[in-house]
Amino acid sequence: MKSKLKRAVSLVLAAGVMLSTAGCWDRIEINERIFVLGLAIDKFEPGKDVQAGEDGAEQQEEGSKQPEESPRNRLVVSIVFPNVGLLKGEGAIVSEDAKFAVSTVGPNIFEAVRQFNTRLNGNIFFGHVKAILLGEALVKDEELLMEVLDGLEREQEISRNVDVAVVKGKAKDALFIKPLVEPIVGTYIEKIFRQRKTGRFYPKNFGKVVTSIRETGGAVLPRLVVGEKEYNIAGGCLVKDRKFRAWLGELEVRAIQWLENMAGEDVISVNVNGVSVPFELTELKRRKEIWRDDAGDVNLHIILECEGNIEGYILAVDQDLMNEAFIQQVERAVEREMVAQCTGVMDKFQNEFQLDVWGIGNHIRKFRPEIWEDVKDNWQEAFTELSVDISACVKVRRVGVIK
Amino acid sequence: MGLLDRFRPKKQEKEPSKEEAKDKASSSLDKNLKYLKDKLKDCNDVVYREFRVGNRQQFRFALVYVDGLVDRNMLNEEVLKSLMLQTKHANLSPGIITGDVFSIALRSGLTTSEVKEEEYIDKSMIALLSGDSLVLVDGYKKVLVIGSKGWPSRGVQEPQTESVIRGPRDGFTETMRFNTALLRRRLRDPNLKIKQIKVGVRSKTDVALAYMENIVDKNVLKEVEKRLESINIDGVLESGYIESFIEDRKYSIFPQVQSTERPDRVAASLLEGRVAIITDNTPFVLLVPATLNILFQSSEDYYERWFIASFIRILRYASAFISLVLPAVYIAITSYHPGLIPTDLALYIAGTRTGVPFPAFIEAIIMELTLELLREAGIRLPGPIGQTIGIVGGLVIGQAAVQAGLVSPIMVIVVAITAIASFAVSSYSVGIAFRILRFFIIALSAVLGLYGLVMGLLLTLVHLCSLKSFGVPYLAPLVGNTYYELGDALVRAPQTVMYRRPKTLAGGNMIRMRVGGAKGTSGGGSGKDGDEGGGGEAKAGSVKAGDGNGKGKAGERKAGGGRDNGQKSGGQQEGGPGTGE
Repeated sequence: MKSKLKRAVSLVLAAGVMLSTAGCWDRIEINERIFVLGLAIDKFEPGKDVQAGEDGAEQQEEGSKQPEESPRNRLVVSIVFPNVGLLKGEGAIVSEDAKFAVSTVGPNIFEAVRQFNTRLNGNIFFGHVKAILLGEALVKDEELLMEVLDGLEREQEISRNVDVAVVKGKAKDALFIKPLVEPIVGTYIEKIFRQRKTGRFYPKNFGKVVTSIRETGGAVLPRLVVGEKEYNIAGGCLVKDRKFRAWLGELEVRAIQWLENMAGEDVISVNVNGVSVPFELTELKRRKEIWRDDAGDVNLHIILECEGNIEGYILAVDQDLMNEAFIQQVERAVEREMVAQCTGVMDKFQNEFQLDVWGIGNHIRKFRPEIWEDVKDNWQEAFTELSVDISACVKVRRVGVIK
Repeated sequence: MGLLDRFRPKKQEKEPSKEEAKDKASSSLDKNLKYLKDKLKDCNDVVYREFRVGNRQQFRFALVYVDGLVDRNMLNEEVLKSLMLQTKHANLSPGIITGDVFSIALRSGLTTSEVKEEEYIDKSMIALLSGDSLVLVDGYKKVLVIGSKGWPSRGVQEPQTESVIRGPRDGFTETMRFNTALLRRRLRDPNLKIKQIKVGVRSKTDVALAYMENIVDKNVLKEVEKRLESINIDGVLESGYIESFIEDRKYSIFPQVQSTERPDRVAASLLEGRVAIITDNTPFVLLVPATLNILFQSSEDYYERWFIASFIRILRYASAFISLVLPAVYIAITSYHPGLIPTDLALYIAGTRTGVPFPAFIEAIIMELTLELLREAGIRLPGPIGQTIGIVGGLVIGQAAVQAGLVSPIMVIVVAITAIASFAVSSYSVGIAFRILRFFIIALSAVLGLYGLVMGLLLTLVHLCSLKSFGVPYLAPLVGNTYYELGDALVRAPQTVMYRRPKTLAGGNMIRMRVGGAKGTSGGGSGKDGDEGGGGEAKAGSVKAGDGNGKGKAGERKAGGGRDNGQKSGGQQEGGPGTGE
């Protein structure tokens, strides 16, 4: 009886202690949070950083309107968050106040976020960040870029799945414009990334970017250009050796993706009989073959197996598109086009950038360890000397509806 | 069964009522009458009728009964008329006259079907108070107890708490004898035993134990008998009294005894080897042992096709889970882990919550309590007003509270879904248990988020695992090693798959059907039931008619040939409680 009482008392005590000491401080009502949807990070450039509007509130710490140059001011951090009250009921409405964007200056992201805390009435929550935008100047700064990426990677609230883009110009501007269709910048950018109807930019989430930089020493990030009321995400930005290396064109980025076994449904136009024939690529499969030839050189053969549709040709009585020979003609033309583009990109990366952005080395390490043994010490050099042969095999599956 | 070793020792006290039985009846009619009148002083519902019998009116008789508890027509016709008139006109030979009047009355005077001699006047008094009548004869030391029970009673009606779409519509009533009859009609097997005892020092309520002799687990049966005998209470007014005495763990929130109003359910349970406890004066029959799985079942599961039944069962388990955790999940996610839900939903919830003055936890508690209030008010109020409460409450909660900005619309949805889910649990008592647990889990998740929620569920699970009902694990067959019983757990397998009785419940005779055979014992029985439905109805009707005093005649005439049968059997069965031991 006594032991029972003792047990009950200890149970009540344990429960009481547990309930009163644990948790709770973590409890923040959902409406008291500020859901940051987009995060833009720029390098602080004194003098050039004069902005209108909300920037007046910047720099409260220093007490002056104009952010001054000081060792403390290194980064401009901007966030955008929705006006959730407006979302109630009607869903997203285009409105003046559908989103709020603020910006501040600080030595690092974390201190900047703390500065937001002195200005905003809610609890800043990064769990729903949809896009991280890096400014051009930041990407070009070796020291700052790696610092920012590491800080972002360690932040537990930010998902690895966030899309990252490099903004030509200032990343901050991207958050302050009012896009036409979707007022909330973060989700807008995310939706562009997710549609996968084009191969003209390379959607890379944050986790992949960081992994790629770690494993290959570089990464291709999508490039975002800010317009008046919209964005254009196209092309890429090559980061190599801890900083910006070069801008890449849209077609180059597309070829990079083909070689990496990724393809959006994109259209390749080829010239057949003097007519530009649009070919819609729907499926792509890349195979790699690696072998050592008699001379001891490492060879890489990349085969692209593609399927797609011919979107149109010319309205005519004699249906060329029903003609197998003609279709084969188109197939060969597409093959030539793809191979040319891929070879160009491969060439560029081998000779100009000297960066194995596809992780070919990794592939060799995993599947051909005997070759890897020889090249692992100076893989970068070996990559440039790799003799690469690219071929494509295109099949037309559909030619559209007639009659 | 080794499981029974863990039963707690029970108090072994004898009913103190036994000492009364010492008083033997006297040979003097006056003395006996005086004794009864003394004991039953100020009991104005007891009627004494003294009369004389014999062609020279030389024998003094007295009839004693409790008005309202007896079938007065029957007493008039079969006792008074027979004794007073027929013996008067009979041409009695001297031999008979000098003979034993008592035995003459017993053997050839009384034309009722159920008569018993009783030596002890106290025992006969209890029979009197149970609805039997006493015939006292001057000069004899015994009392004749006549089975004459017939009180106003509710007829067999559709059970209120366990209605089904498909299945029999008859439910138990307050009269125990009808209830045993409903069982016997379903199981015409000599192995169906209905053992009767009296529980309650003052109420002396009839309690019957029903079981299938060759199926029941003898250990369970013994344990049930032991626990029933150990009950020492003044009155048993409902089977809930008995339940609270025989359950294993009084301080558990979960019911460990099943109660039902449906005879078909009891019959099916008896065939599984369980024991039914039928209590007089209540339509609720107890079934032991009970497992959580059984409490989630509905008798309809076995009448519908197995696909449908399985789907509904899974739905029921899911709804129990939803009713347990949904508000807690909402609180945990909105207050602790908003990163777990899709962005659009998170923003929407945040939007709907702007301006709500309470944290989600308080909001949930307010709404849940309002709901419980509404539910309780709706039960207590009579039907039409209950509906009004529903409308007013629905409007107040649903519309006004949201428009006033006191609660968020999502919370209203959460609470509404929770309420609907909790009503979808087939057993009311389990539903209540989950409802109370819900508050506990809400509190935990308000303090610790999802971590608290999971801890609450784990605690519940640990408790459920530790529960036992009459030696059967409460989570059987989900725990244990009788895998074939899983066919009747989360899903309901086709009948032919469930050809064995559940090993956790039954004690023998494990094969319940020959798969592919034309005749299965249980299948045949239920088929017959359906065939003779018409006949049974007439019988039940005439039993009812016989009970009403005034209307008796008309009912009997109408029932025609079937009447005698029904009346007789009804009378015989009703006499049981008084005259059987």
